[in-house]
Amino acid sequence: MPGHILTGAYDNTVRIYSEGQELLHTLRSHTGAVTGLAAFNAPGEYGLGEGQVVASSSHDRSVHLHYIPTTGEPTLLTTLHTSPAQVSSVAVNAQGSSLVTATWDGLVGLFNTSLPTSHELPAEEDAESSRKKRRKLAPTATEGEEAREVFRKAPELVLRGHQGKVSKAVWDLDGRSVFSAGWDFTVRQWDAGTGVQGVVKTTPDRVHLTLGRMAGTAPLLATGTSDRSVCIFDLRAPTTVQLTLPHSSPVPSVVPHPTAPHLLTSATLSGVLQIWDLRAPRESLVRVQREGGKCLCVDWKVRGEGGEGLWATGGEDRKVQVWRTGTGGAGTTVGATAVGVERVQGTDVDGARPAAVAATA
Amino acid sequence: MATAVARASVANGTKRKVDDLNDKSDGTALGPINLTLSDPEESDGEESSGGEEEPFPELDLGSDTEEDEEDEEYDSEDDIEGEEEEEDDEDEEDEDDEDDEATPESHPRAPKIVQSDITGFPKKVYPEIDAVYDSDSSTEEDPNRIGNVPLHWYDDLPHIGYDISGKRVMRPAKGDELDKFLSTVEDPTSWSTAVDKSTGAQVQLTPEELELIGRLARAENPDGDYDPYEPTVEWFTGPGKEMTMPLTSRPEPKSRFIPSKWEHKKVMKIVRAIRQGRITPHGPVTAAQQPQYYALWSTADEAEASRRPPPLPAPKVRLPTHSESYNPPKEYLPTDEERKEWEDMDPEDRPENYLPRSHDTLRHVPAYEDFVKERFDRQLDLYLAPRVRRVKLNIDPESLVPKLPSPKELRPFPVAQNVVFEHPGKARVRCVSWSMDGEWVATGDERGVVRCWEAEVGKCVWEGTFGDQPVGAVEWCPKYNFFLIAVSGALHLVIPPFLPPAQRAAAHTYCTSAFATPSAPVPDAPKWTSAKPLLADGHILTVSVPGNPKQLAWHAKGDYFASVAPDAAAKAVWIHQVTKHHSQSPFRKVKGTVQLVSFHPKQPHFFVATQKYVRQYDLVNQKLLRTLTPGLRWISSLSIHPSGEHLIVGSYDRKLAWFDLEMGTRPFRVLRYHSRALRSVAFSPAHPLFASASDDGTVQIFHATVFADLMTDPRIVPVKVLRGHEVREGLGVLGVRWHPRLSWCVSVGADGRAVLWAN
Repeated sequence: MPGHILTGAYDNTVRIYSEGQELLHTLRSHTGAVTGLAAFNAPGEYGLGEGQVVASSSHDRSVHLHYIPTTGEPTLLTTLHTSPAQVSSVAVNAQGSSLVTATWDGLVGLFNTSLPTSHELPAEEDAESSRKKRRKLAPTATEGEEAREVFRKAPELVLRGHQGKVSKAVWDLDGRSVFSAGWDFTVRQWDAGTGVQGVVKTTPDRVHLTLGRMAGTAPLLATGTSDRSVCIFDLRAPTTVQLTLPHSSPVPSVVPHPTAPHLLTSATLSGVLQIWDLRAPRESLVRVQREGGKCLCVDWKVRGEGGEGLWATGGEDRKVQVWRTGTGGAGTTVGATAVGVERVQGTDVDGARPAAVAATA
Repeated sequence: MATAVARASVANGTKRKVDDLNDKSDGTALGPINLTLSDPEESDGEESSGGEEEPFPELDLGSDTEEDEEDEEYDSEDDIEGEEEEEDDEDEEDEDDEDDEATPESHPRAPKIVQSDITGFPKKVYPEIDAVYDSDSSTEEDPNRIGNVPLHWYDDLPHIGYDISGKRVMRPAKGDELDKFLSTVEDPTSWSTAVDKSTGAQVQLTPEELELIGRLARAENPDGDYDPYEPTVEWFTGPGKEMTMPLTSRPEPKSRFIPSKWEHKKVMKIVRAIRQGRITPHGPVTAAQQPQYYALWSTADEAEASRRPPPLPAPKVRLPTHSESYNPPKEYLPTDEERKEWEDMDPEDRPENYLPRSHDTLRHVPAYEDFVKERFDRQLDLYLAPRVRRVKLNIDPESLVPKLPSPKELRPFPVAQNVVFEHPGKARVRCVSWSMDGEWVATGDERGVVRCWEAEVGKCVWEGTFGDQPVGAVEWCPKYNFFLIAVSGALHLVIPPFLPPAQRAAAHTYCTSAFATPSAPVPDAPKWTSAKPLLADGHILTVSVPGNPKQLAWHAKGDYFASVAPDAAAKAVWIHQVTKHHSQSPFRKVKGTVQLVSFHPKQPHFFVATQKYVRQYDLVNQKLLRTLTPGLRWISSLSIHPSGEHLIVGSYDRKLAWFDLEMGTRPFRVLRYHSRALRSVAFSPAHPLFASASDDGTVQIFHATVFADLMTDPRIVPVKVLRGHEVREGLGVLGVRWHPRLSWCVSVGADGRAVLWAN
């Protein structure tokens, strides 16, 4: 599903846009704000044909997997439950075989992408009002295809160690390690097979809001912190923080370049989007102000040899802004220009603020 | 002489220079120059006939001819004739001149007596003065014709120079030595002839000239008429000539009688230079000049003693003044009464131990009989009276200022705005509270709207309107995730719906379990009802309290909470229990308006703050423990340290008082850091920080270290001033609260913003 933009918003919906900025699908299966998105090719074992699977994490304590066929309507496949706390992120590994989730009660859950054949978890006990709500807003269970029931999936492995909210968990490039960063000032490495905690980097009084794994063989991690900086960690080195990039407001979103090991994009809460080169960290390569309130999320897709890329950013103005970026490949200039603005229409009074944006290649 | 001259001139027949004297002797006006000089002879005869003039002297023809012959002999030797003749004429003229001057009778300017035409009487007629020839001697014929040239140049030559027209001027005839010697014998006048240096000629000196020379040689006054022995003319002396008035009426200046001022200044200049060391009487002292000593017998003590400051000098004895003079002024001498009085006094009481006496000379001054005694007394004084070296208090004021650590060392504390929660409509936000997990922030504003925000992002996730009165207080329960709202006569309990169902369920059972066991209703007590009408999503309970509740305070366990409604006089304070749905009023009577209440974090103590005092009550024993007097006029906010031993009170008169409860009822420190009223103070539960919010739009963060030992006072260091709120209508920041675990705080203000400050 090349060239699509996925957005998850506070109005509990996931929207899928084509790159031509037309809304293709809206997924309304969540009952809480959508916090994270991941997409991967539908594995053959699903037996559903060509298509993409979109995983969305949400404040309703579950991760929903939707199957988006190339033609046709999307379907809810399964819901992943890590813990009774809100899920802050979901990430898929490079092979598309495993998912990792991070939750607000300090747990990191590892899931494989096979579909469950039965409920692996009991349903949650709810209070009266929420039970009523759940019945109202659970369309995929009753509407749509009656042939498939949506089963709840349990994690393969739950990684315990964080003392506070885990902001984000990501896969290593080889799929053998998982990295997580949280509000207990730590960045941890886990072994995905055994679940044993590896390297722990503690930055005192510095809360990590997001995490990204840089491209390349070196295990470099980039985190966006609440004290207005991006910290680069080298897990092999004994020092805690390798590099700090100063920003003007907290950094809720950091996206490393898919192939270049020295480039990354950071988005600050005040709407400043920047491309940084780690080899010259004094100043960013590109600095752009995103108009329209707070900027909550950014994703970066780079295509081709020329370094042409695309930013999709979401923020308080309920819009996803798409920017074209250039990172100086052969014959291209470094810069970012706004290409278009897509309206993400909200149905709630609160308005929809895209909390997660994913741009698929 | 004159004849000789006349003869020479006749013989020459040349025009010769005018003989002034001969002409003048005429008495007539100077006529044209006569070639014949018989006129002077005739005129001389006329003069002698006048009787008043002296007769012309008789001429000695013999001497003339001799001289003429000599001259002529000499002249014949010479080539140029004209010059010789002129030269002769000159010599003769000179001689004539001198002869004429010698005889007063033949004075050339002697007046002629003639008969006056007008009066008929005889009158004197003076000869006309020819200004050129008569009055100015500089126009006389200058005997020097060769110019200003030394004669010795021409010693070997027959001429003595050249005249103005370039002709040689021949040397006058000089006789040989024998003739000269002979002339000295024969001719008496040869002794008074001299050689004129400029012409080389013999010049006969007149007797007047000789006298003049004599006077000069004796160093007398050259003037012959001068009498050195003239009597003094007494111009100012003598009777009748004394001047009673001075020559000028200017008064004599005082400076003639007193020491000179400028002299004093000059002396002082030198004195100052000496004092400052710029002038040294002996020049700079070099090492070679100073004698070098090696202290052979000195010990370490002495060396130390020498380094010690020298002993104080003895107090100086008063110097003697006028009364001790040998001849003092009369006013110093004692009268008989004073003398008697002095003698009657005891020697110890006398102000002075002497009586002033007067002597007319120094010889009569007797010996001082008390000399030895006085010296002995002085020595005794010096010996007996030890002088204390009074140490001056030298306190460096810098040392009194306490050395506080710099804020950099006291991190973390909030420094910057991270997230701003914008309230729509810019309503004044009155109260704020953090949930116990630090994820949610609840704010209440002036329009009765309560909102819940996700703290990380700043998104409003829940909103509820509870009446239209300003919300008095919003407080999250410390144990379960629900919160209470105090607004206009009621307290509402809300379990927000965005929470995970597990938390909601737990809270729900906690809050509503008392419905299962209803108790007998007490008539005046607040009623606990389940929420009807439902004012917002998640609204569970309502407690009706009298008055307008302005403040809520939770107990640490999360079961009891207290509400304060200042306008309900006796029923202002209520303590409620959630699990039992029970409220009680702990005070029968309340002195003053209760502003705030708070529970002690560890013990069952209850703090009640009225406008001026803070009282601590023991709830178990039901008695007043202590009354704290902060000295403030109107208390606005109260916060208790997590240890329970310290307390801060903020007031509307800009002061913040820190109480150490172990110390006493007066504040340990009163901080005045704000320029306007304080609205809210809060201790951080997890960090040694406290914050104060004020109407000047700032939130000030202080670091307060409380030491475990009782001897050290708490150290309060102001570390940061957070400016991010605007002052609207005189109201600034209205509330501040700390995150339960991090060093973050949220402040709410009258500009409709809630700001999350993070480190």
